[in-house]
Amino acid sequence: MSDTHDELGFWRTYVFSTDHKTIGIQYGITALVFLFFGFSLMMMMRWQLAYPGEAIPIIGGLLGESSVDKGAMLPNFYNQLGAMHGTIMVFMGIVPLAVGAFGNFVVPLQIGAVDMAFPRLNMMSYQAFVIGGIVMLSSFFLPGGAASSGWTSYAPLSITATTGQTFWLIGMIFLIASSLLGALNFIVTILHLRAPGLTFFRLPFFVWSQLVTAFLLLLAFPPLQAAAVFQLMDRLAGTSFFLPSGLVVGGEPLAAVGGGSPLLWQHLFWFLAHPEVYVLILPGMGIVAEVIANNTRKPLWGYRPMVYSLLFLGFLSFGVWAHHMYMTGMGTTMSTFFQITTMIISIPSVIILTCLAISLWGGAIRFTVPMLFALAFLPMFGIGGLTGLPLGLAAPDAHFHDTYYVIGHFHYVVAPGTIFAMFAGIYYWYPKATGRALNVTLGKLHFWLSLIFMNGVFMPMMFEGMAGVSRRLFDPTIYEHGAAVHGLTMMTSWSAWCLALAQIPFIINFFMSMRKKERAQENPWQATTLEWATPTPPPHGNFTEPPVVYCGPYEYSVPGAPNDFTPQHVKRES
Amino acid sequence: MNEPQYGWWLPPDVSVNGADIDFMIIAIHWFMLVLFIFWGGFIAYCLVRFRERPGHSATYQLIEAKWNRWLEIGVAVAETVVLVAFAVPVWATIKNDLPDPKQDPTVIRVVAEQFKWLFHYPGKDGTFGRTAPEFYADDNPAGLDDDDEAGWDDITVRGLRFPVGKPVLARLTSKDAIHSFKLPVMRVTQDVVPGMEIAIWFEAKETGQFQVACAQLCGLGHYEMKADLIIQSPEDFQKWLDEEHDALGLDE
Amino acid sequence: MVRQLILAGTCLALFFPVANSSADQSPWDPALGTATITGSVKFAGKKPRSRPIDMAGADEKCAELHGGKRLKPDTVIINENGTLRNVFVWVKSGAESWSFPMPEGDVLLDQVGCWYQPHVVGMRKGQTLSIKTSDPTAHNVHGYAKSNRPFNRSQPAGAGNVNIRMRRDEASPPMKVKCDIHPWMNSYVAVVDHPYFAVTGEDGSFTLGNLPPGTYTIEAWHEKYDAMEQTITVGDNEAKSLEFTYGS
Repeated sequence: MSDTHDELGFWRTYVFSTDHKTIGIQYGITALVFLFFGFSLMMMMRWQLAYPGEAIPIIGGLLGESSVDKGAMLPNFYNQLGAMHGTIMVFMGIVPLAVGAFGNFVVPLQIGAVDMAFPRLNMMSYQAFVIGGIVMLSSFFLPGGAASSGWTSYAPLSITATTGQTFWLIGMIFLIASSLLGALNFIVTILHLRAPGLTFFRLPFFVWSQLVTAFLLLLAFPPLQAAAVFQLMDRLAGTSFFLPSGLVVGGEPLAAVGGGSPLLWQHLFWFLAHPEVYVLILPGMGIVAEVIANNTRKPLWGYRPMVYSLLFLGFLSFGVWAHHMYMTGMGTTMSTFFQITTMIISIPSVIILTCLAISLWGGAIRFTVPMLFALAFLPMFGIGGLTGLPLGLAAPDAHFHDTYYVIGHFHYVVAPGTIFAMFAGIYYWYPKATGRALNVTLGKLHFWLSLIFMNGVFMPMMFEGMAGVSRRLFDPTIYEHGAAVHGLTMMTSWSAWCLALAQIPFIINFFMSMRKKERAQENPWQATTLEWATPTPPPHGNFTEPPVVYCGPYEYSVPGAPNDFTPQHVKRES
Repeated sequence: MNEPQYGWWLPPDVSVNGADIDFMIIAIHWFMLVLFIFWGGFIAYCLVRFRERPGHSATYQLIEAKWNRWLEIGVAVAETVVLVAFAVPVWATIKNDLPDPKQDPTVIRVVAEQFKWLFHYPGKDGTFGRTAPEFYADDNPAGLDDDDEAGWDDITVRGLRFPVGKPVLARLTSKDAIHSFKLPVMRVTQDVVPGMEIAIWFEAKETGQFQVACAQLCGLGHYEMKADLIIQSPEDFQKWLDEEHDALGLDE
Repeated sequence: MVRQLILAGTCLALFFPVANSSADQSPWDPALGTATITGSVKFAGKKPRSRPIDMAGADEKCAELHGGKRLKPDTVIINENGTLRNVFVWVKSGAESWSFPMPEGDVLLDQVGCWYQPHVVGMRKGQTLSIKTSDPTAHNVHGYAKSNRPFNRSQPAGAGNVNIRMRRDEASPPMKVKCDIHPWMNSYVAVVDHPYFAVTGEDGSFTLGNLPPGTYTIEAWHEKYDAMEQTITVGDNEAKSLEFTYGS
């Protein structure tokens, strides 16, 4: 890298940077903004659910007459919000944050590399992500609004939908391209740029999780990319990949060739979207493992089984997608196969979670803010995982399919699960990235309020699902069983708004801490992995001298060692 | 007829297959609860016992735990039992045991469209008229061929009725988008996919008035896509069929 | 795809001059209109089966407004005198050379008891279609316009009117307006650039009055039986009659 020590202008340093750390921070900020935006969409939906047909305070007056009637939300707008909430949270929020931000910032540092293997490709993947995001957001301003067919975009509904769906597909094509470029980069980086001595079983668990995630992205996204192009062709070029013959829409025969299959879209979509679930959760598990090892001051219990479980999870995640489709009318042979694989895939998750729990045993647990989030991850992800059990079996799924139980289940996995892990990561690596420490009091306030309200949002959904209330209903009180759980709906809505307020301490903390005079220490957590061996914040090129690795990633409390942590790059005298 | 009671738990169950499903749901939730309490208890215990404090330091040596094996094996065994003993056979019954003509099932053709259900009964002659997508029209929502006399007495209504204590064979089709035929009180959910006809069966063990729901996003009116579900005694059902037949005004 | 785009572009390019051809029109002079065309629309075919609509099973609120009585579709209504109702009759060509004054007010399409009133309505280009809901249940109005901009708007109970200004001709065929929430609800709106149009009612007759003398193409359109047209020449102060027969 010849330009390592060149002076770069403002644009090359901050906007069109090829430095993995800058790109990581760009990804992080953009993703956090999208996450907050996606969350805001949901808060508007929660108003309609809690107070159906009543004018939305303040915001209602600002929206156009195709979205609201006298300030009260209209169903087509609700559907747009629902579809875009899912899309933004998954594809523009968590994946860029978990992979783009943490992966980019931390992975090269943890493996002792000067940068990613392909820095320009890295910049390109960020740019593709931004373009995709802009296309998605701009669709709100189209006549007919944004995509409204759910984040799953099931055909044929999505094909007969308004122009917003075309933008959704084009946006997805950019987002997928971005993820594919990123995944390729991570794989090459992790395989080729490890520091001398950093063997595979000396890799921090977080790097392992990013490696498996990158493989999942690389192998699962291309089918969806193809499917998105097919659907685009169905909409624009008159093809019929997903349109069967004899469709009658609005009382008129649809002018289409026909002969396609709506279920083909579902297969292609879920072939991506189930591995995608692991894309969302594995980096989170990686962060939690790092934070737990650091704050228990002892090595992870069962590092190798955890790595093997991770690999197994990644591999098997390609064989369970159709458990999202039990109710599409598939035969019992197929559903039996997918029920078996689904039960099998729960085992490695149980192993990882159990290993993390046993890792607490014998430690000297420090209740730092990142540790609080990491600890909360365990039971929260536990609930998310356990509630997947009845959904993975076809017979109980006959009751739970597409109800709030499903919503509660996967939100427990990704919201108090992954997002808590992300917060743990932010609190953990913030001092490294900015050179400033975050305020602990505000951090703890943020944690406790988030924990309470996260459960306030998602626990009632489990009971709503039990009652059989379907998701994606503009007004569930239309149904008797929906009206009966309206109290729970109200609880969810109010918790959601309080959860938004609970993020204020975080936002204040995030920006105010940056302006602190006092600098953070280079290794404030007394951690062992290589990212803490760099100056803070790490300069372009990262390490002052190329690191050499002598030991495993979590050598804490080694008997006879001078400190209670032995960094990977320090040669132990024995 | 009894008034359905809805609350914060499972809705009432009036189907013959519902009990199996409910049993599985409850059993799995007990299993989940036990696992969660054990896990949570263990974590909580660790947090207290191994908190950082003066005079306490971490041990580098990892414990030789064997119980986690047993936990993992236990989970695997429990899942296998659920799978083999309940999930697969129950589902096979629900999916595959379609009633044959000897059982004299009530046959209903269900047509889903944006955003209402249409229920099509064969009428007095017991034979469905010929239907095809090209006949769908505003005044012919069931897509019946007017030239087929068998269809003249067919009954097309917007609410679902069937008699208690007799299997129902429902043949589901959709005109436009994917819908999902959900009877919460019968524990029945089946996606209705355009271009396919999917046959399902269910049987009620109690009469009552309930609702049919759509459980798959099908457009802006999805939330309004409900219909009455009225389960009647065979006599009442027959009486209703006769009334509907008269309402057709075939003699005019 | 590219070919379709080019085709669409060419059509648009050709369409714009036609649509905005008011420059070639001269203002309408009421003194010109002395001729009248009257007539009726007969039905000679086999009456199609029409099945009663069960609103109660889907939406109790709709059914209550009809006192539990089952309605039959408005699609094919054959009057007692053997004529066909709800046929839109209009001057398809021959009246292009005048620009007519705009009538006052909007054209109202009401939703009463989950039913459109009227079923077929004609209006002038540039007028506003005002869609009202008088029902205690939610509707959506979905206009399947082909030359105007299609629309699809939700209209909850008690909502204000949905107002759509029709900027282009749309009479062959007229625009279909549907409620998707209640699939049995449909109606047709024809948009014409002049005042010479009529909808057949209970006696199946129509009158196109105040026509200047000349030769006209008269089109009749029915939602199920499509369009048919006849050419007729009327002189000063002349009244001629015309008969359309469907189903023969």
